[in-house]
Amino acid sequence: MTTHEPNPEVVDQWLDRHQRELADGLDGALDVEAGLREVLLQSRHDAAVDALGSVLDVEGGLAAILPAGRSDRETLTTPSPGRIDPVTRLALRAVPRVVAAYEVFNDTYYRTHKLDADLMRICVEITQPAELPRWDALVIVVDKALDLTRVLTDDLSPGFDRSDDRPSEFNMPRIRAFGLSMGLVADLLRALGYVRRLADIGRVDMFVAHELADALRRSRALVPALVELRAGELRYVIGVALNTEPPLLDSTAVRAFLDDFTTSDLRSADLSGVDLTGVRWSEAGTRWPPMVDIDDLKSRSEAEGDGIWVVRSGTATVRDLAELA
Amino acid sequence: MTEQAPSDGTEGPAVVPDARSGSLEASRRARREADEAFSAFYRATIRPLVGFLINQGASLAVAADIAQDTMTKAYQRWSELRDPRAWAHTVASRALIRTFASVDEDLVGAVPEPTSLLARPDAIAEWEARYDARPMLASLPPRQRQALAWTLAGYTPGDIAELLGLPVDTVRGNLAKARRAAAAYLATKEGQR
Repeated sequence: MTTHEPNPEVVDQWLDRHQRELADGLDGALDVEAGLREVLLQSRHDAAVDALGSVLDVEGGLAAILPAGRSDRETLTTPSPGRIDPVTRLALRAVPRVVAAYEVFNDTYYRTHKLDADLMRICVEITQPAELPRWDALVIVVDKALDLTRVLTDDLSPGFDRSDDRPSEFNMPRIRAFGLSMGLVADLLRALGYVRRLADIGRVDMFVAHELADALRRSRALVPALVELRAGELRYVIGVALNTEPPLLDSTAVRAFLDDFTTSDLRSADLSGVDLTGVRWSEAGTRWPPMVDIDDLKSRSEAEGDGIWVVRSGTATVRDLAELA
Repeated sequence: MTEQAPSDGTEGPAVVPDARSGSLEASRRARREADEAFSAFYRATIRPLVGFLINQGASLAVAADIAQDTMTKAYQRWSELRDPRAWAHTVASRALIRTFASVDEDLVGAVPEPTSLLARPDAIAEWEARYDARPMLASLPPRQRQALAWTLAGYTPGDIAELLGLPVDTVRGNLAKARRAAAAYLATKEGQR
């Protein structure tokens, strides 16, 4: 029996028919609306998280932290909402729970930025390998990123024994960060396996590399989630220390809240025992109590420019400075 | 210490409003609009995406699973995607290749679990048997099969080359070989009748 091949048009028609049959068959086999509902579950979850904001008494919380007697309190949507007495802000730096939470926040802030940079490096190096790639060096980077992720998220595990009294409002961001951390650990473990194989046999698989890079880029969502979680915890302990609702500060503002005294009048403050590490102050704008030796404070600070100084880590409390005065 | 003019004692960083509470309604509206756009994309794309994966050699259960996972990822990155359809096909294709690569670790003959998208995995065997192009597609080498699947999904050789990072001549060559294989398969079938 002899056969002759059909012409290209016949082949194309046959393939087109196959596609139509495939589409028709899939119409009956797939429940598209159920699949869509499953994906959009995430949207409903996010909307629920957003809705939490509507149950907070924003005005009440703001009023509770504004200095008493101010008559020009403005709404949250205006660009110049109320401000907080700098003496109170500085005094918070002597409250152990605030100091501890601020250390955790700062540590998280810097470590997550290091982690983020490492993740981006991994993404770039596996998808755009150098001519002479150093896969063994990248193995170390991935390994360290794994360690860093674990260190940053150790206390998020549902089984972690927490002795503090943080309210349940932290459950959702904590669970979210924990979930994201699990995803990142899984992605990094896969990346570690892939890069180790590269270090051993050197065969690049761009499909795997791109898929891994996509996964790692998605998992970078852990970084802002962790920073916001720690900022929230810091806001909470500040609220406890002030015996009021937590102040409405985002992760950038909460740092300025505790660090920025560049225009502050601190003459009436009781500064004994206050840890000044990280405090930003200025020669022209900050007014210290008389016992503080400005020259000595300068020697314990780094110049930031424009007359702004930042007190170096571990250098001084105000008591030290007062004793020197 | 330098003396300065007294201040009003209220200086310090401004209290920053919580953006979520300040613009909750705007956030809801933006999410609703994004959900509507995504839903339209999902409804238009999920079936062709499953078909595209089947054409590349996936079973219906695996194709539905990968397509759904890809769509979930697309939703998470929705605001970043310039060409969601091409992105979804590329990501799903990579995921399928990874599945092929790890198939040794899977349980052979494991019964697929029902999913939202594919509620009746028990109907798969009958469904899969109805498509007479499957044996031909299954006989193609992976690159030819990939080129043909992308072409059947509506992509040109230039598009495919760009999305897969391959030389366009390679794509054209694989596509030509796949078409010849299809023609030979058809001729054999005709000859058997």
